[in-house]
Amino acid sequence: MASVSIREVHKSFDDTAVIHGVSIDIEDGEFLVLVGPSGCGKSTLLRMIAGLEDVNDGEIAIGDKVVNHMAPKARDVAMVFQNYALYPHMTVRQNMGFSLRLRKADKAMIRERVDSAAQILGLTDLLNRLPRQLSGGERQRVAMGRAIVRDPQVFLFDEPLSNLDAKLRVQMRTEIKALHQRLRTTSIYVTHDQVEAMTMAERIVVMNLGQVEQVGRPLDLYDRPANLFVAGFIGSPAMNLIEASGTAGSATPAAAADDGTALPLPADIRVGEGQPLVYGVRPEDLALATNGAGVEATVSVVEPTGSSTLVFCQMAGQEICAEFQERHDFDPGETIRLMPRLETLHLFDRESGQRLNA
Amino acid sequence: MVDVALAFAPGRRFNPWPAVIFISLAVLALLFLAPTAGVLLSSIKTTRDIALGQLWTIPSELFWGNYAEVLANPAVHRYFLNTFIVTAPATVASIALGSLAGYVFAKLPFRGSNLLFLVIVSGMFFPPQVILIPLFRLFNAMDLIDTLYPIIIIHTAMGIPICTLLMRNFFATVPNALREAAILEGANEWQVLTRVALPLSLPALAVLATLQFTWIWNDFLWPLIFTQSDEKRTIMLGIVNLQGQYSVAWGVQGSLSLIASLPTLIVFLFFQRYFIKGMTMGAVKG
Repeated sequence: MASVSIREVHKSFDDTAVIHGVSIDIEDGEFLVLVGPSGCGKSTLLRMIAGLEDVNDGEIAIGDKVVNHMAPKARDVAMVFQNYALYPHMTVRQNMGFSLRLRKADKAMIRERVDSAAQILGLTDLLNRLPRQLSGGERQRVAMGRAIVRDPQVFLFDEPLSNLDAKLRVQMRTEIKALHQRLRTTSIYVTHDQVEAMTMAERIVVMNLGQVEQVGRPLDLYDRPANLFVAGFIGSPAMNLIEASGTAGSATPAAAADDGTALPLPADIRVGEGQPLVYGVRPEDLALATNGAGVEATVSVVEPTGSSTLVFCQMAGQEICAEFQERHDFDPGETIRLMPRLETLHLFDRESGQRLNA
Repeated sequence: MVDVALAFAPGRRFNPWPAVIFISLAVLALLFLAPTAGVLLSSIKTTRDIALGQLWTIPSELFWGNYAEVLANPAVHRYFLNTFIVTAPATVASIALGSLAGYVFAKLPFRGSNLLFLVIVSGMFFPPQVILIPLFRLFNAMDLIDTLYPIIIIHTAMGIPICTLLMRNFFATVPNALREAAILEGANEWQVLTRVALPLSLPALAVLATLQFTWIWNDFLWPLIFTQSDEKRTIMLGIVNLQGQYSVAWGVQGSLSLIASLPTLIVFLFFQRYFIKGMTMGAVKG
């Protein structure tokens, strides 16, 4: 096991810069998730750590060794690929033992390590099968087994679950997390799925356009997104973001949406008159208001999920989503009043996109 | 046949094309098979039968004498040995070199590699007649005339373009993730080629082995140019050599022709089990 340190790393393909000075420190034994939309540079960063892509500028260190110019095999990292990359002509046992055979390891030792990894992953009965005789989930497990057998310093996962169906993905998510808790090997996991990131990570790095937007623990990112991008990216259904500006004249601070609808603000916040804002409220932080309080909204669609009810409506001139734990049966076109929870309100500067409230 | 049946199925509009195509192919097949049938018939007839002009008739009795004569002839043994000495190394060497080049073009491209690939593949389009005289002078200067070396070297060189083309295209279908996975696991490029890429390319290798073996085994031109003595002749020249000074031994030639085509048939039968698709299935999600 080892820590991984990424310092001011830059990468371009021909004239197109894809990573613009990224710095991240990953602690020994940590499970770090790199998350971001397609093309944000997260997979490129992972491939640079693996040594499959050159680093144009900056430094990558594994343990206390700078590995920029080190061959992939000398870095002692194991990677699990999105499309498994199992050798189709080798059995599961041969696939898992391939790296040890390349190192000319003792046959008995290879057998022992493969058997032990197979047992951890529940692959013991499949050891003599070929990859094409396995299901998607089993193949993914073999790909992980191949990584475990090597006992590397760092595990790299490149969207390993995106080819699996939804149910299997949830199951494998738990398995990978349990595996990490058992082995405590430093792991860097790339995904575009924020739910995967939230559920698996000890820390999340949110990336966008080749830059780090925010680093933090999953719930910190959820509760206090540093900017508009993170606010919109983390959370499902996504946070409602309403364009508004500060209003003056009353004793308590207030804001108005662009269509003039008054939006309540917490008492401890100071906003200037006319200051352009983005008013962020998570769907579960909207409650049904009574006695004329709150903000008026017109229901457009109701989606019961069983555990909760999602109500999509027009509020302050915008399509928003509210999530209720209790069941409601609103009709489309019905007018309701919604009250945002002021303690969990998110305010952003419209121009810089940065968070305004503490 | 199913298509033909469908063409006449009741309730459908008559579509003449399946029938036309079937009949055309049947006629073509007959035309192509006729010489082989003729050779087979000649090989089991006596010289007298053949001399009577009954080339296409079924022989009155099966005559195995031609085969016995050919198989007992020490010259024929030598022809076989010489052909094998040429064919085996040239087949192996052209496929080995083509695989190496194909791997580089498919997986390790460099500046100008596409152009170089085109240059190599364009080697296929040179007719042998164009390079015949320069090559003769070259090997003559090297004192290699009437040896088997020029034939081995030329067949190796002339096989490289097709081998490179086929192997490059096949390696291109082997997912890059497999190479990257192997490299991360500690393999060098040679190990990626020999332990991952080549085992997955058995269908392409089998096709090439069959093609190259057949071409080289059946070649007439290059041995004719570069060998002179009967000790160095290959089997195709041997068939011609078996004719007498004043007579043509059709029966003997026919039987040797059939025996000479056996090795290519055996090679085909051996390799055809590798002509299978889906070797890369299960490597990656697809």
